[in-house]
Amino acid sequence: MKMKKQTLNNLDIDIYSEVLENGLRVFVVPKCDVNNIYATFSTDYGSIQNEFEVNGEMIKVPDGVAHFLEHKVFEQKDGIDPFTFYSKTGSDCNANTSNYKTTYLFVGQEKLEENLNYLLDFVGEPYFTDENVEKEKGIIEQEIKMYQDDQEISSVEKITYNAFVNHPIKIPIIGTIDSINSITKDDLYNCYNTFYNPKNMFVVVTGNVKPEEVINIIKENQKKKTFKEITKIKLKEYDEPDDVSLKEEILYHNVTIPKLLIGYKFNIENIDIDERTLNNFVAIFSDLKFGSTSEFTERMKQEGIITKDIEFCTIKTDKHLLLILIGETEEQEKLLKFIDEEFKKINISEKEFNRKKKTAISSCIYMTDSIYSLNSFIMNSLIVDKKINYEIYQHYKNLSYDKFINFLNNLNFDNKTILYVNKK
Amino acid sequence: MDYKKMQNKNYNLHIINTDKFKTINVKINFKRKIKKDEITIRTLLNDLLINTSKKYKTSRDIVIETEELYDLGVSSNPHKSGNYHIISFKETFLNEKYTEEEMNKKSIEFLLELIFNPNIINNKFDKEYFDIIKRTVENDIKSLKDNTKKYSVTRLYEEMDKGPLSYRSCGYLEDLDKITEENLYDYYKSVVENDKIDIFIIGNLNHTYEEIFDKYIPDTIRIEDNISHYLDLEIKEEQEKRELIDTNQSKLSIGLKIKNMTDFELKYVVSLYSLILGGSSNSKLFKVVREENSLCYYINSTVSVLSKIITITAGINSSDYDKTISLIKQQLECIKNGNITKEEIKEAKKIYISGCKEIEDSPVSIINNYLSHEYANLDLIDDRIKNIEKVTLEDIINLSQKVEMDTIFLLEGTNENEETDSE
Repeated sequence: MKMKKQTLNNLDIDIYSEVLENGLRVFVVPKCDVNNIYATFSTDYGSIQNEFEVNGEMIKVPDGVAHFLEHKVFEQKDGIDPFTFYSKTGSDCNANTSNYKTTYLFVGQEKLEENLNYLLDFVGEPYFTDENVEKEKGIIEQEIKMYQDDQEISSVEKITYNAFVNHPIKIPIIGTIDSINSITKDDLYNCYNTFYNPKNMFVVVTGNVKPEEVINIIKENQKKKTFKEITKIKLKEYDEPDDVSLKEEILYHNVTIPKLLIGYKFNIENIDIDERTLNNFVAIFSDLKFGSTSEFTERMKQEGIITKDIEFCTIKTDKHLLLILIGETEEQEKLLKFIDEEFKKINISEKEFNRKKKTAISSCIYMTDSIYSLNSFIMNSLIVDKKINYEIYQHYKNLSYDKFINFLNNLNFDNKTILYVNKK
Repeated sequence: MDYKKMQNKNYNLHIINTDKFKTINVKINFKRKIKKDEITIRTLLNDLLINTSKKYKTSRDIVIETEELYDLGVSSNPHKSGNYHIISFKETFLNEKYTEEEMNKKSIEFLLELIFNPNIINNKFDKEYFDIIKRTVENDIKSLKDNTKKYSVTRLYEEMDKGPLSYRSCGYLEDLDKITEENLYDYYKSVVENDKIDIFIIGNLNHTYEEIFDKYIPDTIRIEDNISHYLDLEIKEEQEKRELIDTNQSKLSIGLKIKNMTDFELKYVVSLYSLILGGSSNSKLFKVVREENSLCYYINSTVSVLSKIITITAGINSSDYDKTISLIKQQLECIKNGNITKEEIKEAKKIYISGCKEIEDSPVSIINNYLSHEYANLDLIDDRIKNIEKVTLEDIINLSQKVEMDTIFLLEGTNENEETDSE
């Protein structure tokens, strides 16, 4: 397949793309007025894919393997690790693991060819030994403890755990100290060989580059490698009930002001809107109801129930959406009662809805100024839309108030889990 | 990129013209000599101005207006800067070329409205909002320990010095108690009339917007405090301090003081020294403490140029304290003995230069670069790139002789072997 050039309409950004013979998807966004080059290499594999088929047999790997593997991919046979390699040109390299993907990246300004080849090579040929797997356990144990001490991370992890019953999204991405201590070299190879295949991966390069050059470097690099033919990856399907796993819990942590978290679990299987619109509607709704522009938050501040804005975040699986509200308050019961009452009213005007649309459209323009935001937009599109949405600007323009209200009318806010975070 | 500084008024206007960005960024700084008992009132004032004004009464009104202005981003940050305290207001908005005519002017006026037209009734701040914000500041002060990494460094600085380095940026409860709607308004007037004001504006501009600034900024005579931004800390005996906290991980913070630096050492050599020691994922500390001994997940060293100190931070098990300290000291000795490869110096220079070039990609970083030039006489990007190349191995060894271990602070987690409690 030849290189394609497509434009993000209304945004003056060209995206060049090609699917290589081995299945690897490549995307390039040239931006010649910046100095930096940002390259990411990702696999469609994150913390939730922890039961899958290997050689015809379903296996379950320990919690936290995807993240552990991300650390160990940095281990190379010649002993020179990527940190050392990239430092030579003053470049930065890093990696991260989410529920749905693992990404390796570098940011640099020179030696594009060497840097890009190295990214493909080090992710392509890691070297696991019993010894280097053991060595990592102490490091990750400290990383886990760092998160455990962070009350924001701990409380969101806890409420997610309480909202889901069977789905692995309930488990923290990093795993637990016990689970990571049980990880072996074989676990890592099982995951690596299943998910780190060009058919399951994509490269996104944004910044000061020429698209033809980038695509040629990647093509030449991939030609020299052989990959195992893979059939479709078989993942375990989870029978996740609509009910939450635990309705209420108290977490004792190092908070000075107590917190209240409420998680609303919705079944989204039968909602007839695309995933991106669904995400937009939930964000607009939460923001208008409980965000800094809501009458609710203003009233709560005036009554002295909260001092900071209520925050919210969402967690999604194929069947469910969990909306989490987080408030800091000395009066947890009162806040809970007020929030419950507020959910019963659907009083969002078209004017308010349109104002949120306006900010979403503006945020598209802001995005085009940053090579990091552009790169994330492409990665995120591949995960959410399974393709690039070239009409993203128009997508926001087209968001419909009527559909929004209709969507809200069909949501049921009764299915919830509550977490009180109190001082130890 | 074209930079122009206009200083014929009672404020400095720094205009940076570039067609690289679709946004315009404005930063307005109010600065005066730091006093410990003014930090709290400046923090409260900062928070109040950014959350309420005469025209936009509530923070809700303010955010709604930012949305009408095409998702304008506005924030403020009261902070210490060596011998000074700065209240800094910042906004980012889309250039009107991408929205509609007159939006640049409206967006700048919006920020000036917040700062110069506060919510005053009968010579005092409106009580309702004053109370809300006062409570927020109180909660922030009380919650200092919630972020253990930050708290550990705060405590380290208190043990290292009694002057501005040790002052808590969030303020103090005993000072907060004394603040009323009336005396805050008096203080506000002294800030807008007497603090030194610097305004930075960057974007694709065909106008300086001077007349808008002139309209809002009171026409008073501002007296410069003629003191340097740089602190000169006293060198004292090495000390170890501990405090207990109920967490899983212990936070180690180490402060190093550097005595009698030359201008060149301060601007360049110390940065390279810190990069080689613990400033990257290929540094000596990262390699030895994390990669070879698995003692931590993060370990870093950073330079505070204005305080002339280096701070090392790491998250460890308290049982590994002695081993970690001995490895860190060993690495400091290593540099003193000249155990640095040519490669290490070359890489540190490359990282430094990449960092400089990266500044040019971000409007906020460009402003900060001019700001550090204005306040602390640090060099601009081109000079930085040229001068860093001049640093030699000898320079780094010479500097290492001036580095003095001052304080080792451990915020000791007492809950290391237990899971977080819940019921």
